[in-house]
Amino acid sequence: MAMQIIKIQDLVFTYENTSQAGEALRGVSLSIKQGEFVGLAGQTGSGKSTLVQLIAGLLPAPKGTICVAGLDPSQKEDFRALRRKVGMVFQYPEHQLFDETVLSDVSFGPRNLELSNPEKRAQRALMLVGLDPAIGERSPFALSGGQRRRVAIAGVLAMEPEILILDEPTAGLDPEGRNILLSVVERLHREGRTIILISHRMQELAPRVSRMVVLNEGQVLLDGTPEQVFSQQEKLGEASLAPPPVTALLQQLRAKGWPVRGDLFTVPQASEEIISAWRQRC
Amino acid sequence: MALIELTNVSYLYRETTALANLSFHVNSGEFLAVIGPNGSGKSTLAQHLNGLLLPTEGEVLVDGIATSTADSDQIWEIRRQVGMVFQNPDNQLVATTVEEDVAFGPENLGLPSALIRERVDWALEQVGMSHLSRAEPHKLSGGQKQRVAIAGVLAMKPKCIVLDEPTAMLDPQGRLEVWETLRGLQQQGITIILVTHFMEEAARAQRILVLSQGSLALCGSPQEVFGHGQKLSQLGLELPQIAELGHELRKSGILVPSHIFTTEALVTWLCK
Amino acid sequence: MLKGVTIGQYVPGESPVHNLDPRTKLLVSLVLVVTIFMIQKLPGFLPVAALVLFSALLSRIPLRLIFRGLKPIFWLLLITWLLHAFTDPGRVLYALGPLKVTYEGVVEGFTVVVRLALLMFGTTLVTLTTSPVALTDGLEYLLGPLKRFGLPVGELAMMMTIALRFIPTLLDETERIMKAQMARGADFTTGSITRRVRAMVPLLVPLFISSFQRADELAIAMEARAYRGGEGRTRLHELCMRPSDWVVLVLGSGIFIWLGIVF
Repeated sequence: MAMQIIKIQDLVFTYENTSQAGEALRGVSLSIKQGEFVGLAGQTGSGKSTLVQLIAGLLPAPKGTICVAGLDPSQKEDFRALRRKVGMVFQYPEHQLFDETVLSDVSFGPRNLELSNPEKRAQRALMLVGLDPAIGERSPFALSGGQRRRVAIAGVLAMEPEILILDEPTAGLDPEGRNILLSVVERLHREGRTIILISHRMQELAPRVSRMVVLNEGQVLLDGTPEQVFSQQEKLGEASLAPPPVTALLQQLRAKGWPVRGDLFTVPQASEEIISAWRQRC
Repeated sequence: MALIELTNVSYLYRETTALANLSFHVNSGEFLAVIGPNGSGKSTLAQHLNGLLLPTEGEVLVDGIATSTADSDQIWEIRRQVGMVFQNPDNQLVATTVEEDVAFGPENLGLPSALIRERVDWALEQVGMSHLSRAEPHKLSGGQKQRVAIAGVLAMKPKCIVLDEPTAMLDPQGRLEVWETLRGLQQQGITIILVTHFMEEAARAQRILVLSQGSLALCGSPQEVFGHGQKLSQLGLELPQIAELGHELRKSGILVPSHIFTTEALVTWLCK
Repeated sequence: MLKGVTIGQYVPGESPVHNLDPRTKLLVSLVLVVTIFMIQKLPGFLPVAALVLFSALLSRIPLRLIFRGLKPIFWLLLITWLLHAFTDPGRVLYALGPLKVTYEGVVEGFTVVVRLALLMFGTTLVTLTTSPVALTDGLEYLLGPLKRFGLPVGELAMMMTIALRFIPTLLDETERIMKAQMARGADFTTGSITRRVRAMVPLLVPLFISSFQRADELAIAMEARAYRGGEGRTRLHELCMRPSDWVVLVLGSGIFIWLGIVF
């Protein structure tokens, strides 16, 4: 059995400021194994961004226990070591770019952590996100929106974290940009990293992740394989989530007596399933 | 009747063609969706519709008046008639309370304060935000902010509202709120032009206009446009999942009509 | 970490002081300032202090909140008093080697301290009971006559309003970028001064860029909503002087001016 890289027990977190009260956590227990690809979903205010920021050690100490790759994220002494364990990509990460060239921006993390050969690491990270390292000489502000976002992600990858957390990495991109980005994330997972992907688009999560966690009002509402989670329609509704359209279609057909599976998430799978059922009926 | 009419509109920006020889018209009371990949000129087009940008060549007529008119009073009348809502909800709210923000447009029109009050109350009711009239904008959710922005436009009593990717930065809940608000407005006869990259949203419009590199790639009802699945994917656009599924089924001899692109419609058709 | 910051110090509430027109409050506090500087004799401050204290009680704002406004100048007051006490010439009360405390110094120092404290107390009371927006509106009206000399009063007031609107947004953004850079190992809190100043670059550059972007978008949005400068603009909330405003204005200014002349 693979090692549990994130262990969270009875996590409670409240914000001092009342305007963020909705984002509080009210008792979350969760373990994530090394190499897992976890999709994290929930409405705005369900606590998902609080949870990932706690994992990344960016918030004050919570109640309960949290252990990430053997470190305690709330310990200041562990902060630097933690950076090499958890990479956190915020929403619209391109807004954090600041340096004159792509290469110096991407190597910002390694330089902060005083790692050897920061530039080499930056070049490797640029290749990981599918960018030509030659782009390193250019100004990040001269790139297209989708490229800027990948540069920003490279800036996190350059620290070579074992766990990568991405908060809505495809927001605001067009379909082409979305596909490029998602294939980058898939490759990072294949290469052995643990991935936590936050998204509102279930059709984006369902076919890719090995596990879905749905938060609602600061608690874990659903946790399981995408198949298990998307069959719980009522509970999904509680969190204002809906399965991908083709999954919903299959589930409705199934309810009407069609011999189809209700746990498929992509168009090719669904069409194959419907075609064979259609032939059986005729 | 055409409310907005574009003839041979081109727009050059720093020597690149952002819009190329674009001609189409928008009917009064219509719900038009404009889609296209990033950089296809959607936002540039939107800003041509109320004279924020003026065409390098060609002409944009709003209610018969060219946006390039030299008469500044007519420009302001065009701005009043064609309201705009932008993508980033934070960057279009001006005042420190909801009601004062909604009042901003009418204040600029120089209306008497009693009439402004009336318009503000009415507009906030239209978008379902009356209960938050004294709230501070930065404390609202994304969907609420966009509804306030829509109310701010409504308070100027426009004939048409242009929305430039109003839901791009919102969560599903916010998207739903904005969507329901728009539907209500359309029922009141307000012309709606929705620039979006969500195909599911475009699917519910009466007509879709597809832009690619500044020119018109496709134009027609959602059925007609989604019938060109291959062309859309060449343009870097994505069909709604169900339309794509219908397309796959057709290839295998299950002749799903091309006008089906919602889950309910496909279930009904398959079970008939 | 930046969430606790409040802009202005307005404490919303219902009280006779809150309900006054901002222009009344601004004008009366202006007269108060003049009076405080006109009064030369120490006992003259007593009725002034009594009146200010009375308004404070009327406003139902906890006194400790108003005194908190004095905290930042506490050391300034103390040093001013000590400087006067030790350096003013006059009757020596106490000698400590070359340092001499004089009676005139103690009294003069005390006068200056009382003056400054009253000044802060009075103006703090105004900002605590008036929303920044109302203050802006009041200032815009009172500065109105300066339009004739080419001062863009309406535009300045609009700038104030926009600043008030965007400060919370920018604070949120600052926090977000800070966290994003901390996630890349940036350290904003330790090290020498130069190190910390240099650490601000990755925070300030993105903040500037996004602020310019915001300004750009906001300008377009305002233009789309038919904004064309202050000229011809009307207001949702017209300022309205009620009878109570006139009474407070006339009576308040009258008493203060009289006190200023008598003492």
